[in-house]
Amino acid sequence: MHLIHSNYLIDKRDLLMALLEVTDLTTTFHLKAGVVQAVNGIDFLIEEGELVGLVGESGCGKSVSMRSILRIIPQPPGKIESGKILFKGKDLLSLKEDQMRNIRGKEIAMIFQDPMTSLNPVLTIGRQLTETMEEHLQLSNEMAKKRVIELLDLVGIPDPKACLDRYPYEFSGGMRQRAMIAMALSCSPSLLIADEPTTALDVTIQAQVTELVKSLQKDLGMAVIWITHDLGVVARLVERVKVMYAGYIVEKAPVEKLYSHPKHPYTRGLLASLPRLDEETSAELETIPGQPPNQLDLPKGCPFAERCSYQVEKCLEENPMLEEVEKDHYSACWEKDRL
Amino acid sequence: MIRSDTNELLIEVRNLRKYFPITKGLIVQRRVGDVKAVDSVSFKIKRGETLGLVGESGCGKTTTGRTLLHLYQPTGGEVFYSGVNLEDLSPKEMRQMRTKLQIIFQDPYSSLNPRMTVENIISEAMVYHGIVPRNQRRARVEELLSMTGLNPGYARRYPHEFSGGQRQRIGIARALAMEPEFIVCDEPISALDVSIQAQVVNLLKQLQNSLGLTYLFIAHDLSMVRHISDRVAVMYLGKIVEITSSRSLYRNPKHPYTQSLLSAVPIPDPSLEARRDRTILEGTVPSPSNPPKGCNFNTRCPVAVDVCFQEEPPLELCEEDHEVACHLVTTKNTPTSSE
Amino acid sequence: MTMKTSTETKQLTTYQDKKIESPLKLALRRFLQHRLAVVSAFVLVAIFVLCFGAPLFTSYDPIGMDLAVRNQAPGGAYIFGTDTLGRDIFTRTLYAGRISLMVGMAAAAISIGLGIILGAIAGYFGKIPDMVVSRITDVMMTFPPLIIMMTVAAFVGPGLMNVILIIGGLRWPATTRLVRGQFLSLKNYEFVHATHALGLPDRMIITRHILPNTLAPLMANITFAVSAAILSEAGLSFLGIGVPLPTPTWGNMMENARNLIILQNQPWIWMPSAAFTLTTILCINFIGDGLRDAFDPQQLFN
Repeated sequence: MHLIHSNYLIDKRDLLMALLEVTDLTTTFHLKAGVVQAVNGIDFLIEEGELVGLVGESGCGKSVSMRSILRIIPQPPGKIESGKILFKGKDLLSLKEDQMRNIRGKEIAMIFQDPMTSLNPVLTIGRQLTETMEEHLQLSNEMAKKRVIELLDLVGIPDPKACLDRYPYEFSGGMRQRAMIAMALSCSPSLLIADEPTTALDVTIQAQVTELVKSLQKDLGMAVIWITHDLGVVARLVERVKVMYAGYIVEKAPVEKLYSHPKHPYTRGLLASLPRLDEETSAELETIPGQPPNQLDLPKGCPFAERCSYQVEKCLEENPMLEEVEKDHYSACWEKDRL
Repeated sequence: MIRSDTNELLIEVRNLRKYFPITKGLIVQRRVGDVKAVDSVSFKIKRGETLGLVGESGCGKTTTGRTLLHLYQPTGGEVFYSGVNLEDLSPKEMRQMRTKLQIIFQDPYSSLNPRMTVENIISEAMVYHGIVPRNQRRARVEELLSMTGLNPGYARRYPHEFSGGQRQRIGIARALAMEPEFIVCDEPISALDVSIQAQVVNLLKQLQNSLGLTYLFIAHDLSMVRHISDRVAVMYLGKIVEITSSRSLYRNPKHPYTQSLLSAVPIPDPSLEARRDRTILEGTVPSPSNPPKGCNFNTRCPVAVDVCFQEEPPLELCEEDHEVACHLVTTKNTPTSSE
Repeated sequence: MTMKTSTETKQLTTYQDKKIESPLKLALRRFLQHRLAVVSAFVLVAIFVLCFGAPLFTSYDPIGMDLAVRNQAPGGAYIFGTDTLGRDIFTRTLYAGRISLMVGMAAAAISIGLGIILGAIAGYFGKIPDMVVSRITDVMMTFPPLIIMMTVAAFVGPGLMNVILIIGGLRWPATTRLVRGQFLSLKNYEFVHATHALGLPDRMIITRHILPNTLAPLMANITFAVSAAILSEAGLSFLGIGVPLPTPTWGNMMENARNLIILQNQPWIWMPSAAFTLTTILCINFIGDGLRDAFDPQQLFN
């Protein structure tokens, strides 16, 4: 099934300026209880300078797939079983560890959900930020400091010069996340992976951070993959969306299409279950019954079949692959035409 | 539907305060200041009604809920339940009273004793209080489990065998076992996955309708609060800044904080998001141990005038059933921020 | 009021086929995976059977002397040989084990009991009770325990009961600190807040809700308390201020090694008791490690 899809990708390669091309990526975790099928053969393309959303619930593999790209999943128990990750034409999975280190932070940067734990509490902000730059860009300490001050200013931290000598605990959550973003930007990466960076933040701070990332992406022209479970943030921020469920990409589309005409029952269910701030909702919210499948033991057919109201017999037998429904809009569903 | 439309007041909170002392010194502890987590909060809840309590983390909404229930000893102020001042009750009478006032917690993982079976978790207190005779406890537990959408056969299982959503249902069953009239829902859905949130919210609404329950629904998700609440109170830095019906809060927010809070919430609709004007608040919430002079919000308020830095605005009625604590509103000028 | 759709119920029933696994069963299963701990448990059981079933394994009298067979090397009728008074070392070692193990367990029981009660009071109620208990533990823990034990033992004189009380009465501060810390942290768990909200009395909250959840670190602490008590007894008896002769204990048997001739030329007199002590302590400590891992509460909270 993946063959057909990757053929399609190859055909289009000339048309798209692919920055990152992931083919058939499969990641598992070998635990005592069994093998967790975290990511199950996903394919996607990221173009230069685009803002992509990767949406799904906890455990759907969205974070693991991105960490697999950077090869920062713990191995063992994690294992990248198969796949090809072409970044600017280089296959990341075949690189040596020290070559990979040159990619991480320099070419592809990542920011995480918890700004509290991603900064080292005993080092000053300045020290942590200059370190990466001295390492990757071979800058002198003076130069690095100057650049850090520029970056802190860029991410909207007031009085950046004074901040160099401050410790992470002196910063609020939002400020720490800004510092993390500054750190991620320090080597001008061409791809920024943001792993739920606003989930731990309050709405007003979340709005500040999303605005910041959006403007930085525009100004610096880098591509951003924004991982989140919040469909509201996605609607506000990104251009294209990929929806993940149980380790599969089940739908991908430009953001307007996805929200106006979801072509996968899961996406549709999620959107329908959200109450909206701007309109009165009926007494009862629509729900998706049940819960996601156990990834130690995925069903034979479509992983969503059990919870799906469009379920037909075929769904229990065979897992549908991601196919184009209309231009640029893909769905992995046997009944996608009924939606 | 037992839900009565009489205007019977069930809960009345008057000038409730909860200060946590900041102490210094190892052996002889001196009080050097207070964290004013809840600072003179007053509100009323009618029987059968849901009051939503929203605000950002650290604004004191959880402390308000817990102090209301006297899980924390109030520093000052009064709580009346059906006209009874909880402050007047002896510890023994208070324990009896607790059956009427229940709470559902945020974290489905830490809110259930991991070493007890579901049956014991649910039935321990109802047997202790003599609500159900010992020989009927199994039957009652099974009834409560099916009421909350769980399989009655689960009674002998332990919490670690359940998913987050199921555990939250067990927590709800534990509260219902006391046959309460009033339940504080302390962020009951914020730890759950998107597709599970709607299930739990629907359950809470159904239970309210069938059992005539009254809720204080604490959350930071404004869309969900709008969906479930009849009236909404907005908290900022330990104080209620606005309280009104759900409809008028979202249609006609008066307080500049409410306005920017609402505009910060993303709406899952990309085309709408593209058109929306947003007020993005600068800065972060000041420390509750050292609130600013005058209005608490003056450090971030886009429309603050001189008086805001001098005097603290009282919570006053500005329209029917709409109370606001803002100098600019009470002088009959609805503030219009930059939008 | 009809709730949940058929899909949910379907999923629930499949869940039900699984066997119920209580936290205790779960802990047992994990303990059994800890190989060293399981082996240690077997060895320890063997030592207990040997000591407490001593008459089944030997026909000699542990106290009766037979001057005709003094200082016999191991072999023949006396597996471990005889001591300077012609008593069978093997027999004495087993009977000594009874006393040493009993002292160890009794003293540990006292110290754990005191530790739990004081720690629970301090941790649960806080404020003044906490201050009083914490300051006493602080003071107790600043003294080197052996010195206090020796001083007290010198005052009250030797004797089995005195040894138990001294060891038990001096070791509780460690347990108290541990239990207090556990109570302080568990007190903030939402399930404990829930018990308050349910109007349960303090007695039930402490014994049914908080205490069972301190089990994991407490298990390890209990085992280490037993081994520490056995060692303390051995130490006191070795110094001659523990259980008085002629009652054999591992400690006073090892005391023989203070004689240079015995230490060098007649190792069979002190080695068996030393070996038994060492094996017992190691086994108990390995079991403690195993129990601590097995009861790890983290698995129950996620």
